Amino acid sequence: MATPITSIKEKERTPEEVQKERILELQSLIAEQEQSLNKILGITGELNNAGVLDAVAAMVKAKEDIAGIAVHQASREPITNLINNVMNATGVLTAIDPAVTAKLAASVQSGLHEAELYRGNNDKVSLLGLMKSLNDPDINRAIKFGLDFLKGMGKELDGE
Amino acid sequence: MSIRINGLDYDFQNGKTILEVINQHDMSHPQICYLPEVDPIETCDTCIVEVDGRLLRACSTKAVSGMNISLASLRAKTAQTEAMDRILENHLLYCTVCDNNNGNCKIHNTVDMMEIEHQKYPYEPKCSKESVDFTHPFYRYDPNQCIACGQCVEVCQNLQVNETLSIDWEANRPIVLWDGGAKINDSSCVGCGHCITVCPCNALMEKSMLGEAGFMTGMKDEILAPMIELVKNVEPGYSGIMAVSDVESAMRDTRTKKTKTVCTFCGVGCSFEIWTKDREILKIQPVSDAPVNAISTCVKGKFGWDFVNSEERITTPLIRKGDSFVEATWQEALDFVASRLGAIKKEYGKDGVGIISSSKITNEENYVIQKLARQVFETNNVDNCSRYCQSPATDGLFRTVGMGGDAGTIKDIAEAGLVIIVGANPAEGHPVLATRVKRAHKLHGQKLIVADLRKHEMAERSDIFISPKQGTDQVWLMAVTKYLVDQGWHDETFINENVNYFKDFTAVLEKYTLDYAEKETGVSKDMLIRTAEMIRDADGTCILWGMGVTQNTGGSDTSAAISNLLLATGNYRRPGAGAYPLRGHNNVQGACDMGTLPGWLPGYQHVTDDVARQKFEKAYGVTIDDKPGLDNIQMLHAVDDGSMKAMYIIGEDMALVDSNANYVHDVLSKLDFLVVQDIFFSRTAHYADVILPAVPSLEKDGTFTNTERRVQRLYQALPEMGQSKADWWIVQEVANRLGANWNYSHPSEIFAEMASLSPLFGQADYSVMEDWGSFLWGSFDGASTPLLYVDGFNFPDKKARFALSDWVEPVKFPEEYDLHINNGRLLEHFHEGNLTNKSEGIQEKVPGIFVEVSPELAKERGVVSGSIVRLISPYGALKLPALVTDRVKNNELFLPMNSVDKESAINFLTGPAVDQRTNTPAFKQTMVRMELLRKDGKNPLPKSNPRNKERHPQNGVEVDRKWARPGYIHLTDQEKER
Repeated sequence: MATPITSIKEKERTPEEVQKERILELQSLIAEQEQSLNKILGITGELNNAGVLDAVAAMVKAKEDIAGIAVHQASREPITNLINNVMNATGVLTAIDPAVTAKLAASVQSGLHEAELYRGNNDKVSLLGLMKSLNDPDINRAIKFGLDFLKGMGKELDGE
Repeated sequence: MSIRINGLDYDFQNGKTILEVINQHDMSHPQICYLPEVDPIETCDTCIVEVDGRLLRACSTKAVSGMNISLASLRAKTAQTEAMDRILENHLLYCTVCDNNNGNCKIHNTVDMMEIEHQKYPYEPKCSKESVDFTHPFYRYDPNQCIACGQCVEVCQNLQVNETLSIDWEANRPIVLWDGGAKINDSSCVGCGHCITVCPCNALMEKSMLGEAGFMTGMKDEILAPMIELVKNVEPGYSGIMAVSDVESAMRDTRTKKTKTVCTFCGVGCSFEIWTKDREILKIQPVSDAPVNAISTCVKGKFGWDFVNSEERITTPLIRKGDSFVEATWQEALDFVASRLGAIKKEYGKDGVGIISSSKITNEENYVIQKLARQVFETNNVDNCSRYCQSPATDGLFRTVGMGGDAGTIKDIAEAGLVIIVGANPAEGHPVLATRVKRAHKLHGQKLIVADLRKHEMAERSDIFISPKQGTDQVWLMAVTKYLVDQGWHDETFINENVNYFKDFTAVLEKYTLDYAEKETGVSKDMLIRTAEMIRDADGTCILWGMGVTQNTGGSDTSAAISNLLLATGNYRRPGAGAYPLRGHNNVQGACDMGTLPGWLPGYQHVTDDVARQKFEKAYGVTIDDKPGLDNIQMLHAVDDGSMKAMYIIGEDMALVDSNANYVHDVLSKLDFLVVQDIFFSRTAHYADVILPAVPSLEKDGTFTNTERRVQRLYQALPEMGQSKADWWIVQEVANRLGANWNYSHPSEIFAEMASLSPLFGQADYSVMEDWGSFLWGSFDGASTPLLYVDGFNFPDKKARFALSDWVEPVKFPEEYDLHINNGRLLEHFHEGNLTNKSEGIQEKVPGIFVEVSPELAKERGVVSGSIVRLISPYGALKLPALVTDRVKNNELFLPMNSVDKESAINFLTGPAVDQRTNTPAFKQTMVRMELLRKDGKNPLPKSNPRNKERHPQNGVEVDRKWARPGYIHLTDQEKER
């Protein structure tokens, strides 16, 4: 004969038993993850030595305040200008064909190399020498690139 | 037939729109307000294309052979961009800190796709911050983020057809209104969630998502607001914003777990994704791919899942010790269960143990439970809760057409020319299925006849509402059938080719004249004739029925009479027609399919069928009894007379859901040993010797089978809570302790074993049903069969049989019991309510129980809403508040069944009468008398309950009103020419 019962006695565990259970659970976790735990402990040790953990702990505690400050600072006009500038600049960079940039970078490198080669001699450049140099195909190419660049830039400035 | 899009030719099916062709070929094209589930909405204009030089909306323009279409001509692009600009004027793109930034935000994705960098019209808020409506327990509306695309309105008006939402197109800045301008919680909104699901942005959001979905969305407003301001001041091109938010969204994707599951709140079988973060449920996300419901849900499926994380869950095995249950290890509990059940079987033989399975657990679990009964306990004493509801419907179908399942699918119900609903209230009991009827009725000319005691929502919407006296449905069904035959409106060819015993049937019909029917049912002859005419005129009739039919002494015969009517009028073996018993639980169908029935082995192979039985005997290595075992009701009698000593009850609160609960309580007390397996400490569990903690659907894998016979997979979304375990695991542990030596490691292996023994499931396996896939049983070659009987009825000669039964008069009560008490479900609560009453939001809307009293009766007895009444039947008494409503009439009461309390649960009133053929309790045949205990009291139904509000029907979103706005400039060419 089963009379209906409505009470459930949860196993009353002493605080010591609860603690023991949890330690057992943790132990098995530690055993499973031994290698990664070692590494993490190593890293946290280093971070602590460097005082990083203190700083991080403080920042986490003050996260709302810090987020507030960051947003407030970032919202000031000079900063929004800065961000807009950076974003515009980024826009410029993304608009240039990477092939052109690569070529330009290589040319600059080569130019530097050549310049470094002749930096030692103290030869003066005469006007005649300069004119003559224009006949040098390499120099002529560089000058032409510069002039074309100026022309393009001037056009865009006029557009404003 | 082909059309040319962007210079290439594409084939298309006649009737498809240009946008459908575009989508079918996976071309990316903007379409903010396009919803495949409804007719074109045409508010957003982002899908405009150039067709032979004219700008047209792709969503509403049918493809015509030879069309030359450009998706991105200069003119089309300009129109699309202008459309998007008009949208962005209403919506602030703070995606990274928006809870809707989960990879599926339509606005975000369209801005991305169209490579929009800046907007032409600056964003302007429409109202103050305070106008954001947080009143509803489950969702909030932010008009300042709303683009007024009207998808929410269209689905509310024309898909869910609750008719609450509208847009005030004439206002300066149109926004969405509830009941024309009420607060959400003070409106007729039933909380189905359609509007939130289709919202293309964050204007409508589940409250459970707010501050939870994102990494940076939980911030206080003091920080969030300036952060949004910062983004605005910086004014980057949108690609920048999109890039950052895409990164954040990708991060969310690693944390938010999205799992496909199948709803457990009724038999419709809605499937959807559930989004979780650890154990926390973020939201239910319906998808168009879901085969039954697509984007539709009801308030329970969308919001009612809190029970899964309830602190009331049992999470440790419990053993009765003295006057309490004490916690035990699985080892202790399982050893104890096995040794006691084993000992009782040894001492008392195979009839000493009975097993009750559940229609809430999976097919696989039902299969192993019947296997436990037949192989380990060598008994057929196994049954499930379909005994309480659906057995009569199954019986009526087996007798007439040969298979116990819905004739077709929800699509057939939607396509039917006429739907007849008998003794069921799908608007509350099967809400998503009801939406398909409501939509077809509102938009597609489908006719609707409702026969019910109560004037519920479907009755209000019906073309003909008849309210026969309780328990007399079979009379009017047979009278209408007779009238159809007498008039020559039956389908003689169909009958000749397909049905036996027509002559005998007409003889049985002889006495069911219209006069006789009018006298017995109280329905006028005129109404019966109109019903017959509507059946005659309909292109396909579907009959839907529920417990109002089955839970009667003549439940099986009435179900057969429904099938007879359909046979006589040729309404089988064709789409848009047939018999549809509405299964009430998520897996009632599956539990029966899997053979947790005393007479049936899995796959509807009867224990008396020698060939089938021997197949199982060989597989199980035991002899199986060739006689059916005891059903639920007989098991209780066997316990009462002392022959059955032990029961193993899984997931069924028998002490509450069986009729005549007081008797059940006495009987359960007599058991020598009772094992209850449940997720909650149910009333039945109070009588247990051992309680085994099981898990709900979200914590396991498996399959459910819905009312359409559709098998669908559910995937584990959450880890098991505490020590609780899946039912199949527990049953296997018990079986193995009794020497069964089972070795299932996943439900898929159980399903495969079942399918190998059941021809009906021959071609079903887990790969067929992966993700949104599904399988509908119905052919003995094992193929998926959406429409039954296409190749003939399930009898050796392929012919159906008219069932030849007279109607059964309902139980008579002594005269002092002068009121009939009906019972059933409420939309908000599932069944007895032990799952849904864990949801704060649902409790806010329907906090308690009440008995519905008609205005006439209330006046006569001096009862008002809130009065406390006592209801007394010959079997028990209840004490509860009254609610006066004209949903009920005269001396008829209605008691919703969502109570787990002895003071208010219906089954402390119901009696021992049962359906003559299946033993299903005649829950609906109960009479009481009523005493007024206290006149004044608090109205049990809160003011905010939608039943207290008026709906606001209109013709969908009514885009014409948008186009008529002064200053509205059309972006298409067609408008100018109109």
